Amino acid sequence: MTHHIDSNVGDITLSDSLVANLAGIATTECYGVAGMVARNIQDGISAALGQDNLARGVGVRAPTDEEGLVITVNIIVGYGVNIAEVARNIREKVRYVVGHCTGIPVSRVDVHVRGVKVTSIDD
Amino acid sequence: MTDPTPAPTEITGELLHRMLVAALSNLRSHCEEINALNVYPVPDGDTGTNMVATLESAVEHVSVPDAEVSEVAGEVSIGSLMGARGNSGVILSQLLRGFASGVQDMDKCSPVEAAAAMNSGVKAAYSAVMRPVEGTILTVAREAGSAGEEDAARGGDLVSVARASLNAAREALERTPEMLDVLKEAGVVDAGGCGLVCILKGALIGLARGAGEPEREAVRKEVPGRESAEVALDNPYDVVLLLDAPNEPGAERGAALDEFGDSLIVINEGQLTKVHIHTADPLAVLKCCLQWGELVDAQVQNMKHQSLGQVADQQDENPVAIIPTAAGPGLRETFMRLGATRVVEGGPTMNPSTEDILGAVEEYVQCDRIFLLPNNPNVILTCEQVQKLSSGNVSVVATENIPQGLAALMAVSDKRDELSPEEVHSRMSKSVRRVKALEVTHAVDDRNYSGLSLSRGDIIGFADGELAVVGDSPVQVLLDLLDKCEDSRSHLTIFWGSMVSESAVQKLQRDVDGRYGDLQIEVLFGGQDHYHFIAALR
Repeated sequence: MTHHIDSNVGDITLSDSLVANLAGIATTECYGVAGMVARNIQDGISAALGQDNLARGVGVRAPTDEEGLVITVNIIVGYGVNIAEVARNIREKVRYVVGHCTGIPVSRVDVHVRGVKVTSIDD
Repeated sequence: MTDPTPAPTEITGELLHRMLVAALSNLRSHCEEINALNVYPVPDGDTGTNMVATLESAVEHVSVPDAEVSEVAGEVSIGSLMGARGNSGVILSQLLRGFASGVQDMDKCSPVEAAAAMNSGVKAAYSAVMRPVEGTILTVAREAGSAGEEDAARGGDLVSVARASLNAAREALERTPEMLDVLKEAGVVDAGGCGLVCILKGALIGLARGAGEPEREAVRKEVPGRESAEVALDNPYDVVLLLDAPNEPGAERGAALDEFGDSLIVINEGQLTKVHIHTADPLAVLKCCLQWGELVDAQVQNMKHQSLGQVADQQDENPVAIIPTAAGPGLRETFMRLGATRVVEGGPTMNPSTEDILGAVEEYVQCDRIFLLPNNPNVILTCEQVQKLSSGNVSVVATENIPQGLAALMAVSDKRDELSPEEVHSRMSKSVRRVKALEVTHAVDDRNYSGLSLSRGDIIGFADGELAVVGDSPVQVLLDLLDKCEDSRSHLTIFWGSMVSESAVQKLQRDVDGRYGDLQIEVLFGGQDHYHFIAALR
């Protein structure tokens, strides 16, 4: 699926995967996000995704009955953070980055927390 | 009279709490500045507010401030986790969580242990992010942590470790625009990093605060500022109250308080009610709230003072700051008129604490040099203590009385901008010796002093700190003092104190004009307590 931006000097077409990549990068820049995981079982079990395929952890939909994009991100959080607050930060960041870079408004950002990564801080 | 508190050698739970309270207070007073810097990760201008909320929750969660350091740190960690707001708030909570884990099982910690715990906080903060972004609060925290650790390894004490961390944090903050393009484009430093610098600075002030002082934030003293730079505020006092008064709906309370000011917020939290208001009359607000129930906590801050601090921050073109100590509205005003950067409130029997002076100094650390004029033998020690504690470049000109302080300031007031800090220092030091100080006060008890026997209530006159005249009328004693002085002087400035009557001043004016017509004479209101007259003869 693609998203169009019409202008009088030509159309611009943005692919889903571009939006997903932007959202993925924005998400992983958020503090408290220890990694992203694939959005469904077919795409692999909950192994952390590498930097190159973050988009597989992001769902992008453009429902006809809603204005703007609905983005879903699947994340692993670092142990010991306030998960609700991290999720809120992700929502703000993704909405801002995607909206700012593409010009397409984002109506919803759903955050699925799929796991927690424990790292020792005593070593 | 002054007793500079010896610097603590270990962080106890009580000290940690005190440092965090001071950190919160300093962060709060810079909140708006930090908000204005916020362009990353989302430019919504709330970093300062978020960090304040996070640290507030951390501090409020401490139940027993004088418990073991591990316990206090643990409670702080939980409080900050629960109250974390925004990205920088979450990061702050991780720094505190790591610190808590670094001091686990300790009842107090040494400089080395404290520095190690700070680094454990940095490690925790880095471990909870997939892609740490440099040029943010993380970078600032890391640099602060490693500088603290190095200093501790070299045998630095707590103050020196805290100062090393603060300095490194400041430097790292300055470099953040080079690391993060969005900051460079906006021409700002990182907001979260700036918040951390404010926290470290506040912690250092808390560390320096004398033991035994109340750990709650004190009501700020009003400090006179430059009139021209003053920001007009109709409701200068920021009042935050916590009430234990369950039996009334918040809305009704809000309506009752509305008349006292603006920015009113009333929140009911279970049994407790939180009230926030900007007002011109904090006492009326307190009175009104006390009708409803018991006061759990109250904080009053003068925002005029805060905004003055910010105005002063912006005037950093001036390479040299001069901060005298003086008591009495007239004296303070005179110092300000002569070009003092700021006056610290204090004088005989009311010596300023190290913290008072350090707080003033820390506002001007960006100056090439900060000169302190103690204006009292007892304050010299305190100033020297501040010199050791401050991260700024501080010099103390050891003025022992008000006239010496004024002379020092006058020696450089006209061309301060053209002089190097060294020249300023040498001019001020030299001028101190050229002034004669005459002070008139009363004896507070019966005793023999320099071969004279005094009884309580006698009026006594000092020339350069030496008892010279005893009498029963302040005006007469001052005239006798003047008679004893050699006549190679050209200027006489007299400051009259708060207990001197208008008629006595008029009599003095007539007498000195008659007797010393060859001098240029100024008789000014000083407003000082205890001293009827303070006179400078040049």
